[in-house]
Amino acid sequence: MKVSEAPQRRSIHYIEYRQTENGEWISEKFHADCELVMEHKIADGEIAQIEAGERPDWTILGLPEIRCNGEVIKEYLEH
Amino acid sequence: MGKVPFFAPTLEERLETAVNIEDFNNRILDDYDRKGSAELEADVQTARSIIPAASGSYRDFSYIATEIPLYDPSNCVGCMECVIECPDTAILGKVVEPDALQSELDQVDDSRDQRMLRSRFADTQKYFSTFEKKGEEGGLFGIFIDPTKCKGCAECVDACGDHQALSMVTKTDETLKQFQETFDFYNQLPDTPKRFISDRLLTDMMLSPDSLLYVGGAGSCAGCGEATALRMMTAATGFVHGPENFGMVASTGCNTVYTSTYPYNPYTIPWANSLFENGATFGMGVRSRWNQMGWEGKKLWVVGGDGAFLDIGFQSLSRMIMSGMDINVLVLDTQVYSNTGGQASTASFMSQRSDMAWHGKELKGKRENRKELANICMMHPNVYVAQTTCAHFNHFYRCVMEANEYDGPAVIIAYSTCQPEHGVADNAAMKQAKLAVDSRAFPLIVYDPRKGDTMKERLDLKGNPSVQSDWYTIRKTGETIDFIDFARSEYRFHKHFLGEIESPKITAGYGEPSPELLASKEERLANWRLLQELAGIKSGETAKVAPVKQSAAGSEAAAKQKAALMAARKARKASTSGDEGGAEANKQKAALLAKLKAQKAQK
Amino acid sequence: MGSTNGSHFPEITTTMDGAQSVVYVEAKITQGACAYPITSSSKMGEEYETYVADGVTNLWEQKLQFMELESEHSAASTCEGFALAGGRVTNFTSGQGLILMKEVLYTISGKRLPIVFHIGARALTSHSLNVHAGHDDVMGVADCGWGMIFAKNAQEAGDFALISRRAAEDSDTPFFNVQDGFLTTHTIETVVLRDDEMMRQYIGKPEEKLLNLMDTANPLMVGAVQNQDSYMKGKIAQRHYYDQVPAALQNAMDEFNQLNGTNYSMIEEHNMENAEYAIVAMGGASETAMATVDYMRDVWDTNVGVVNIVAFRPFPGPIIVEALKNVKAFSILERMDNPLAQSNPLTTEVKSAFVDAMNGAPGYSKIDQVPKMFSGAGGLGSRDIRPADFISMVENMRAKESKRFFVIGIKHDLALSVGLDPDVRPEGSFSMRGHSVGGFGSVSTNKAIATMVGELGYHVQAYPKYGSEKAGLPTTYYLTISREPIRTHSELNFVDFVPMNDTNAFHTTNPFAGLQEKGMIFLQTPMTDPQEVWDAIPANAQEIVRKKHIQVVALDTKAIALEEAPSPQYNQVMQGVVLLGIFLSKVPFLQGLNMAEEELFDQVYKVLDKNYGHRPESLRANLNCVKRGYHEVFEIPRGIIEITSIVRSLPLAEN
Ligand SMILES: Cc1ncc(C[n+]2csc(CCOP(=O)(O)OP(=O)(O)O)c2C)c(N)n1
Ligand code: SF4
Ligand code: SF4
Ligand code: SF4
Repeated sequence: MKVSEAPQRRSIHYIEYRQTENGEWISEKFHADCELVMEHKIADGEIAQIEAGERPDWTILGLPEIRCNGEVIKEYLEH
Repeated sequence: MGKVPFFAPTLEERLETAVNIEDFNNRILDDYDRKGSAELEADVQTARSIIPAASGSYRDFSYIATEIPLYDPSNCVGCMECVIECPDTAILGKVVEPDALQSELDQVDDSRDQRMLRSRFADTQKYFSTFEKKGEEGGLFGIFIDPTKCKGCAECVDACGDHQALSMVTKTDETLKQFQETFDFYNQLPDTPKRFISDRLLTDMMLSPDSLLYVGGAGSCAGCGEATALRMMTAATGFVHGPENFGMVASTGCNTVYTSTYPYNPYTIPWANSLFENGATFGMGVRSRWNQMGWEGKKLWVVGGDGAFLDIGFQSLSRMIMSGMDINVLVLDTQVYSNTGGQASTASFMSQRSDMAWHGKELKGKRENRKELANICMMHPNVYVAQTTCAHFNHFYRCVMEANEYDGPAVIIAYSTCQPEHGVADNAAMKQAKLAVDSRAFPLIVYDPRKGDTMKERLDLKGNPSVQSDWYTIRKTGETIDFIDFARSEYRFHKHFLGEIESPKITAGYGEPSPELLASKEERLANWRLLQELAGIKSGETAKVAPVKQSAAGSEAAAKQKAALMAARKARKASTSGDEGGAEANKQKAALLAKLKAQKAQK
Repeated sequence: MGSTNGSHFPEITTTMDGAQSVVYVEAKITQGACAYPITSSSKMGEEYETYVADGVTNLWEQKLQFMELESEHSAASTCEGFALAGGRVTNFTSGQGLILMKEVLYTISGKRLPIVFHIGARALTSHSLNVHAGHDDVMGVADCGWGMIFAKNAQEAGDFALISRRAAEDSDTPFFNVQDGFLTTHTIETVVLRDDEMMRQYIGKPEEKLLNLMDTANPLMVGAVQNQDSYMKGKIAQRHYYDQVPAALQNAMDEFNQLNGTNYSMIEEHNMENAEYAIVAMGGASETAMATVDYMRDVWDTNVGVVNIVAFRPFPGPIIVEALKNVKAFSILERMDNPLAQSNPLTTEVKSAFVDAMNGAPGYSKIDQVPKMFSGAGGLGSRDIRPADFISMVENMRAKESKRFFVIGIKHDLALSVGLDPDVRPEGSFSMRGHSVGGFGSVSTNKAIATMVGELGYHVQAYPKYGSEKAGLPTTYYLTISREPIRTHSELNFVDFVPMNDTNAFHTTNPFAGLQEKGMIFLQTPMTDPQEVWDAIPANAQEIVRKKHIQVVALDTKAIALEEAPSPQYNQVMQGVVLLGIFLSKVPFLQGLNMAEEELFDQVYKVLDKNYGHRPESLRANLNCVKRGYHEVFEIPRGIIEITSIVRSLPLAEN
C-alpha cells in the first residue's frame, strides 16, 4: 500500500440507507468530507426500523445522523 | 545523636511503610483525581513512591479526544486486529454465550438501553457459525470501547481497514455516557470462555484476561507505536506463561515516562526502572536473584529505546547477552531519542532529520549509517535475535513466544512509530511500520540459533515481501516500493524532496529526492543485501551497489578537505625549496652529513 | 590464640589483610556479589569469587552468586537488581570505579535498598593516575544518601562489614564500608575472626529481613517518574528513613560491642581526657596518629589527643563538638584536596557543626567559644604519613605563626617543616624490609612469614610496597612483629633485618636505610665461602656493616630453588620460600620462643598447607626449601668483617 492511497482519517458524518431500483436496500457510512465512504452491512430488522422512521439499534450508541433515501430521518444526537 | 532505643521494623512493617496498596488506591489516587494532588502530604508512603499494579486503570482520558471509535457489528469478522493495535487498551473484544448475554441483558431496565447493548454483538462466522457447524453452541462477538482510555488516535480504524467495521464519531457528554455504559456492561459479562480462544490463532490471545497485562492509562502520545509493542509483548508472555510468572525492567526513555509517571501504572506485573543505560545489567541482578530463589521459569523482560540499547547502554546489553542468562530484551526502535525531544541516535536513518542532526544549509541530516543492532547481536554466541513490527502481528507474537521459549538471552527489536518525531499522523503507526518493512528500511528478521549450525539455517527473512529481490514489487500494479517511498511518507525526510512544500503540515514530500536521500537508499539496499547474503538468499537483481560510506554531503566535504590538504602540502613544498627557511634547512642537512662522514672516517 | 576478653562467642585469631577480612564476613552473610576489577579492591572480588567457584554456601546454607560485569556502572546496577528482588548483595570497588557508579548509587538509596559496598579508598585520576590510597573517591560519593564508615585497620574492616550491614538493613539505607586502598586492603595484620553463630544471630537470615520488590505475587512499580506535584514530596519523605540511620548505626555498634567485647562508636576518642591539642583524621592515618600522641605523652609529657571519625555518614556533629570543644586547637588531616571549596570536606563539616553548637542548634549543647581550627592535606595517593608529620602538626598549632591550611609529606610553600621522626612502634617490635625482584616469590614468603608468626601468637603487619611494577623489577616488602597491636601505618623507617634476594640492591637502593644498630642483613649469593661473600660486598657497605655492628648472613637460595622445584615454572618463585627457613633460624626474636625444631616445622607445614595444600608436590618442595634455608644459611664471622679495613669509596648516607 502506498501512503498516498492510505485512507485518511475521517469522522462519520452520516449513515445513509438507500433502496435501489430493484428494491434492494444498501447502506453506507459517509465520513466528514464525504471522500471516505464505507459500506455498512445491513443486519436483520434494520430496514423495518428505518421504514418506521426509527434509529437502527446499532446507531443508538454514538447517535450519528441517519438518512434514508437522501432525507435526514434522525439528526446527530437525536434519539 | 545520643543513645536512642532503637527497634528495627519487622518485614511486615517494612512492606507497610514501603507501600500501603489500599491507602494508595483510595487516598492517593483519589486526591490526584480530584484535587490535583495539592493536598497530599509528603508522608512515608511517598518516600519510595512505589505504585501498586494497574493504578492506570483509574485514569480518565475521556476529555482529551473529540472523537471515539464507533463499532459496526454487522461488518465485523472478529479478527481482533483493532484490539491488538490499540496502544492504550481502549478497545476490547469479548465472546459471550447467548444465554449468558441474555441473562445480563435481562437485568437492564430500559428497553432502549437493552437494544443498544444487544446491538454491540455480531454473530460472526469465526465465533458463531463455525462453532454451530461443529455442533457446539456458537458465541456472540462484540467490540467495546473504554472511553476513559481512548485517546481518539483512530489506529483501530486503520487496523480494521477493509472490514470497515470501525469509524470515528464525534463525541459529546451524552454519547460519552453511553460509551461508558456499554463498557460497564462489557465488564459485567463473564470472561470469554476458553473454548473460543484458539491456541492456533495468535490474534485471539487478547480475548484472555491473562494477556491484558497493560491496562492503559499511560501518558503516551495518541497512537504511539511503542505502547502497542509493550502491550503485545506483555500479552504474548502473559498468555503463554501466566501473568504470575512475569516481571519487567525498563530503561529510561519514553516508555518509562508514559508508563510510570506517578501515580499511574498501566502494568499488572512487577516493574522497575533504574536508569537510562543499565536496564540489561539491572535485569541481570533480578534474574540472578530470581534463579537463586528457584524462579528460573519466570520470564524477565528488559525494555527500552534504541538510545538505551544501541548507544548509552550498548555495552551493558552486550554484557548481558554474554552472560547467557534467560533474559529477553525488547528494543523499542523509534530511530531517535524520542523522550528528550528527538535527537539523532545511531539507529536513525542516514539523511533523517532530527535534533542534533539537522537539515541545514550545509549539512543535510544524519550523515552516518544506521547502526544495525540485530546484526551485532547475532555475532554474540547463543542469542535469539529478531527484528519485527506490531503491524506484522503474527510475526511479532511468534518472536515474543520464541524469545520466551529460548533458554538464554533474546533480543527483539521492534520498529516503533513515533508520531511527533517521525512526522506522521496519529493513526499511522501500523501503516508506517508496514511500509518500513516493505521499503527495506527495516527488514523483518528472525535469527534462531536452534535452527542449525550455519548462518543460513539460523537466519530467516520470511515475511519480507519479494524476499529474493532488491525491492518489493506489488504484483497487481507492477509498482516498486523502495526507501524513497517510505521517506516520502514521513515528515522527518521531507527536506530531501526538492520540490515546493505546499504547507508545513503536509507530511508527504513532493518532488525529486535529494542526493543524500538517494545515498540513504543505497545504504538501506546494502543492508538488505547483506541480510540476503547471510540468509543464503540469492538476489534476483544483479545491479551492483557501491559500498556506502557516507552520505554525499559527507564525501563532498571529505573531498574538499583532501583538496585543501593537497594544496597546503604543495605550498609547503614550494616554500622549503625556495625561500630562506628552505635554504637554512638545507644548510643544516649538509652540516649533518659532513659530521657523519667525519665520524665514519675516524673509525 | 584464645578468646578476646569480653566476647560471648569463641573466636579465632588469624592473619589476613583488610580485603580478606571483609570477604571472610561477606561470604558468610551475603547471597551474592557483583564487581568489576579495579586496584585496590579487585582483590576482594577475586577472593569472593573463589568461594563461589568452590560452591561455598553462606551461614544459611545458600549458594553464593557472583557476577563480574563489564563496568562498575553495571556492577552497581546488577547489585540494585539483585537487592530489589530481595537478595543480600555486596560489591567491591575503588577510585574511578566508585565515581563511575555514582549515578546508580542514588537509585539504590532512593529505592531504600540496604546494600553494603566495600571501598578500598583510592586517589582519583586527575593530573595523573594513581592506584593508591586517597579519600577523594569516597568524598565524591559522600552525598548519595549512603551511610559511610571508615575502618582504620583490617580488624575493623571485617567488623564494620557486619556493623554496616546490620545498620543498613535496620534503616533501609545502603552503606559504604571504607578502608584505605593498599594501606589496609593489602596489609596483613592480626585479625580476630567472628564466630559463625554470632554473625548468624547478629545479621539474621536474608529472607526474614529483606523485601522482594520484584515479587510476581505482589506486583509493584518501583522507580517511577515524578513531576512538580510529587518529586519533592518523595524526596523529603525519605527523611523518614534517614532519621533512623544514626540510631540504627549506634544500635548496631552497641550490640556488636556487647556480643564481641569491642568498643566501637561513631567517633573514636584517644587520649582526649586532658588533651590541649587534638588531631582529627579518618582511616588508617588516625591510628598512626594515636601511636604518635602516645609517644608524645609518654616521652615528652605533651597532652595531645586524637579523634578518629568512624562515621562520616551519618555525620555525628554533636558528638564531635563534644569531643573537641575543650581543646585549644585541633588539626584535621584529610587525604584529598579540593582548593575551590570552603575547606576540604571533613573540615567543612566539622566547622559547620561548631557553628551549630555556637548557635545552640537542636541536638547540640551550646558552646561559647570555638577552638582554633587547622586543616591539612596529606597522604594523597599513599604519600607516606609519618609520626614526624603529626608532630609537626602539633608544633604548627603551638607556633605563633602557623599555617591554617597546611600540607604534609612533600616540600611546598604550604608544607609544614618536619623535625624528629621517632620510632613509635610498640616496644620490642621487630621489623624487616626485604629487597627482592618481582617473580621471586618474596611477597608470598613475606605473607607466609606473617601467617606463621601470627600463628605463634604475635601481632603482625606485612605488606609489599606496591608500585606499578610488573615481574622482573625490584620490589620491596615490609614486616613488623610485635607482642602488642601494631598501630603505625607508615612506611618502615626502622628495621632490624634486611634480606636482599636482589643482588643488585646495593647498587639500586640503600639497603641500610633505617637499619638498627646490631641489625642483620641477608645476602643471596652463589658463593659458599664467607670470605668471598664478604669481599664481594661494596666497600662503603662493608664500612656501615662494621660501624653499626651488623650481622651478615648468606645463602644461595637460587640454587636451592633450582634443586627443589618440582617443575621448571617454580625455579624462580621458590627462592622466596627459602627465606622463611633463614628467618626462622636467624631472627633472634623467635629464638626466645624456645621451640623444638620438630614443633617449628609442624607449624611451617600448617602454614604452607594453607597455600599449597591443593598441590602436594609443591607443598613438599616448599617444605624442603624452608628446611634447607633453616639448616644451610651461614654467617660471615665477625673476624672476617673486622679484618678488612680498606675503604674503597665514600660511605653511603645512612638514610
Ligand atoms: C545518563 C543519561 N543521559 C541522558 C539522559 C536523558 N535521556 C533520557 S531518555 C533519553 C533518550 C531515550 O531515547 P531512547 O532510548 O531511544 O528511547 P525513546 O525515548 O526513543 O523511546 C535521554 C537522552 C538520561 N536520562 N541519562
Ligand atoms: S481510537 Fe486509538 S485509543 Fe481509541 S480505541 Fe482506537 S486505537 Fe485505541
Ligand atoms: S478489526 Fe474490525 S473486523 Fe476486526 S475485530 Fe476489530 S472491528 Fe471487528
Ligand atoms: S514521543 Fe513517540 S515514542 Fe514517545 S510517547 Fe510519543 S509517540 Fe510514543
